[in-house]
Amino acid sequence: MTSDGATTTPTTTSAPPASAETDGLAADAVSPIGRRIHLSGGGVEAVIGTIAATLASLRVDGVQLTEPIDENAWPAYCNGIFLAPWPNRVRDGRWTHDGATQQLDVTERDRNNALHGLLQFTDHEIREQTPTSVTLGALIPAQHGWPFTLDSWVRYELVPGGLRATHGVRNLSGVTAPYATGVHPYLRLGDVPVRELRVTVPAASYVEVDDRLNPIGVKPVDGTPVDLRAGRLFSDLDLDTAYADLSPVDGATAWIEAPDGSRLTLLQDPDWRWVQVFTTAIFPAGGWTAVDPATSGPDVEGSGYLGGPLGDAIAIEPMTAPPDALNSGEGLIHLQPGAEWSGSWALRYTPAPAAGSSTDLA
Amino acid sequence: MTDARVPSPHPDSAVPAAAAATSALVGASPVAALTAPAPLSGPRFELRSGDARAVIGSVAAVLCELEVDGQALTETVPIDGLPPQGCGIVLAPWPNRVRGARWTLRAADSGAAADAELELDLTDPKWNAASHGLLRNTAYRLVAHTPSTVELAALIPPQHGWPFRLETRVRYALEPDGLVVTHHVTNAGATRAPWAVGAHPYLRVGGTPVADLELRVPAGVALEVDATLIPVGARTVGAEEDLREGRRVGDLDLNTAFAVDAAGGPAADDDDAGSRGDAGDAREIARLTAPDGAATQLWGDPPFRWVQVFTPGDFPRPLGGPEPTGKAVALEPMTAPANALNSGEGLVWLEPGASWSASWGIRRIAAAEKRHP
Repeated sequence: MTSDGATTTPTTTSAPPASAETDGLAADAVSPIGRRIHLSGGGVEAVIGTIAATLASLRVDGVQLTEPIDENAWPAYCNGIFLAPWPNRVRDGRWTHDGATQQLDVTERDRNNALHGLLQFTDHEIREQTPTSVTLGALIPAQHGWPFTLDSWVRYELVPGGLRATHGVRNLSGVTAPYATGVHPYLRLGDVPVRELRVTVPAASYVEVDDRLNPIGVKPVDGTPVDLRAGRLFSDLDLDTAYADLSPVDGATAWIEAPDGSRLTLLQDPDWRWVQVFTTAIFPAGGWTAVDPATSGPDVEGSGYLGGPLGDAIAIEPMTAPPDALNSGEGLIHLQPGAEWSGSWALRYTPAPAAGSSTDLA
Repeated sequence: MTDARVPSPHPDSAVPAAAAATSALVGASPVAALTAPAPLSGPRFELRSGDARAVIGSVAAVLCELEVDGQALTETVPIDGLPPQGCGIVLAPWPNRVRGARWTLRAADSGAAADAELELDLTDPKWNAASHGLLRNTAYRLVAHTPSTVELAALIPPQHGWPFRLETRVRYALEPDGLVVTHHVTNAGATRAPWAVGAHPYLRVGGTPVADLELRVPAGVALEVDATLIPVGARTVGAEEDLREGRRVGDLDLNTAFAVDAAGGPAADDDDAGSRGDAGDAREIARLTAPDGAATQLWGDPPFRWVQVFTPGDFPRPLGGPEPTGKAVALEPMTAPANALNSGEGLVWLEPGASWSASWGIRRIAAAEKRHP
């Protein structure tokens, strides 16, 4: 007992040996993304964190397909996090429901918006788990600016060549609730330099935004540098752009391709009609690892964290609604009391064609 | 019947599903078991002990109801509403406001090479502040539930302006004359972490109109605040706020933090004084007394050195309650005053792996026990 009357116990000095279950962390320690759940089977390996139901890593046949989050690191720039009950922004954190103004917590301080829903810092419960799948759940409680109660869940399952994720929701309110969802993975193809990747999104329109990244209109991509229908090299891109009017190709809404022809494809269910593409040249490999003592003011990303080395990265975010959907109503799913919704997206890896197997040679 | 834990593929899915695997359901989820319309405070847990009854909600580990012998000791959190004016919620890892929702993590505290300026989410735009910690909108997970106790846990993850991991627990233990609340925290991160905790109960004494209650707080020092309610100093209590001899709640208009006198009276009038908190030496923080002598006492272990006294005149009560919307009194036990992340006042610094716990509680004192007849 200390002099102020509180009971304390000393620091544990002998950490148990690392094991697969604890991911190298002391048994009573929690990683910055919560408990890290390892899925493995059929040549596919994934790591899921319980905070924000984060996709922390995906590998197929040893090829790293998402930017990994190291075991002692925080997600950089929302890497891998699950977004609900809205993806992207709500302007000023303010919207109107049934004539009443709703003020959400402002979670993007420098742009004065409410960003990426209400679960970014929520530890999820594990509801179901197998060696190749896990379902994480969380309550989205009524709170400032959000007068609804939702039961939210995400199920990750390994599939041949990749990963399938299903987002689900059940309205526990006595009134109809709006809902939208998304996810924030950064994609790559093994060790291929990101700037050599070709990015394709079969979208005819994009969302024009103001200086706070809130939408001001939807425009055709024709003749613009953001037209990704024929594919563009990462090195030619500078995007934080929502795409609309998708024409999926066999379900594929976006893909990245390496010079050797290997490809990572994003697939989306019909309800997922938007995709956000974000490119950066200052992504810290492995995630943020420490508080930045040199930060001397509000940080754009709200991080104040150190990481590195910094490099290129590309987030391709499937979404069921565009930015500021709570205000525009665009893409919102309306759930009656007790009603449920679920929808899926997936990532699928295609290796480079083996030499001599090309049909061009036939 | 639909089981939300084992979803079926979307009928129009373009996304191939995996082959069916034998799934292992992991534990029972009180959240998954909810049906619409669910309580806004999430899964609720009822406690009974003798003639005492309490109801705890998962979100913010909120104290929804507390009564002894049919007499309410607290205001009620309605099943279909948010906690009115913060009623009953747990405040962690800081109570009250952080100025500008910004704070400085000093090198001397963190062990880093330099100070770091951190920015929290703005949760109180009206006062440009981050208010009442990080668990206000978190559904705690159930650890254990017995007829008279419930233990809830919540991780405070690293987030905007908060690069720490704290595993927190709240244990409510109902006794025949009241409730014991124990807060526990373990630093589950790799660096030193700050900690403070409080709670936001509104107390009453059965059906007596709150305005007619006498409030006594053993405190000779109150905190001076600026226009945004952030402490800027301490003062000897003035005549309008000196609660040491008791004042009628109806005559008060306070939103004031008091430093509880170290020499305050013992927590209980009977022989087991001081035995209620885990840390011992519990003392009275505040007492509300009805005209008939019945009283409701707030007590706390020594770390609960501050109490915020808030006396709104517009506390909402649904029709059918003991009294209509009107005067109420929040008596908030706190281990640190407002803006502690910036002032350092009252903060506990936890080494990696270190734990801390302390208790406070509410008890009913029947009229026959009246101390000052």
